[in-house]
Amino acid sequence: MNTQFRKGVIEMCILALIDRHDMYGYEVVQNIASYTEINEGTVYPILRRLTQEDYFETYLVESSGGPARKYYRMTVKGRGYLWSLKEEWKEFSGMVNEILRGEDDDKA
Amino acid sequence: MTKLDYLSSLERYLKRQIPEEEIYEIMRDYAEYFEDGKNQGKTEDEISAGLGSPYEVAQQILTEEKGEEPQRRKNRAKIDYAKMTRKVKDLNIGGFFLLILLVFLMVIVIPPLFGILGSAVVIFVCMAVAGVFGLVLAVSSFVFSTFWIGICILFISIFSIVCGILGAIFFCWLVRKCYRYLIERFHRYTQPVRKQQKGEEEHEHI
Repeated sequence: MNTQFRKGVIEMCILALIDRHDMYGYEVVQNIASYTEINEGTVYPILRRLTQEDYFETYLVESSGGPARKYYRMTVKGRGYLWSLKEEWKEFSGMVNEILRGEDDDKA
Repeated sequence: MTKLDYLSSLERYLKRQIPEEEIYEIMRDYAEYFEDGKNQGKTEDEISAGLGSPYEVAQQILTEEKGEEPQRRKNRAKIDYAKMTRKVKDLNIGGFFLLILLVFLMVIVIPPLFGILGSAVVIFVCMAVAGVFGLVLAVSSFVFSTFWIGICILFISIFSIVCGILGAIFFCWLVRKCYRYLIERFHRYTQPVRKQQKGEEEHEHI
């Protein structure tokens, strides 16, 4: 799967995960890793950009015996963006599945 | 790669490309990531490997900044950055040059230095010997000529003997000190190279 496409999809997944509940960076990476093999190094830069574009808010939670944890929270703008990405994905994957189904039907 | 090495490498790649406060924030994020990883029982090496090379991650960050695909070299071979940077660091080129300089110094400087010090020892020994002769002369002058001349020569010769002995001892000590110091320095520069060579051999055996 090519990099550009994958990155776009990972972005949507990150938004979807944080939409469920607030998460800190390491938690996001572990969550995605539980579904698919990803390059951990790519997640933080995406988190950073999405935060800069105001799709996330961040807040720090002090933890005992360690550095403060930065939590990411969805904003209204972020929810809107996620919704539009989901729509695009549904349309795109629906289209691809149709093509694949058509091919399978031809072969049958 | 250790957490410290990773973070400082990452910072180096980002410096001057991104505003200072943002670099600080990024460093904070990755430091937090390392800590969380360690709490989960991962080693710093594992965490570094999972993140990928600091260079690649920095490129990611810069790409997201500019919002465009980075220029990727065609057919980029998979390079193990962690191993490569470790090897280059171990080579310690600066230390190597210092070693060469030291050997050069030893060959050019040491013989004359020890020659000078050795001669000083000889001079002081001669002084002591002369003093002894002077003493003999003084005693004989007591017997054969004036009293006061005898006294003078006596004192001068005693002084000469004492100075000669002290001087000779001092320069012997100085020679030994210089010798030990140089040997120590030589060992300090060759030992890291030897140790790392041993360390590298161990790594390669693994």
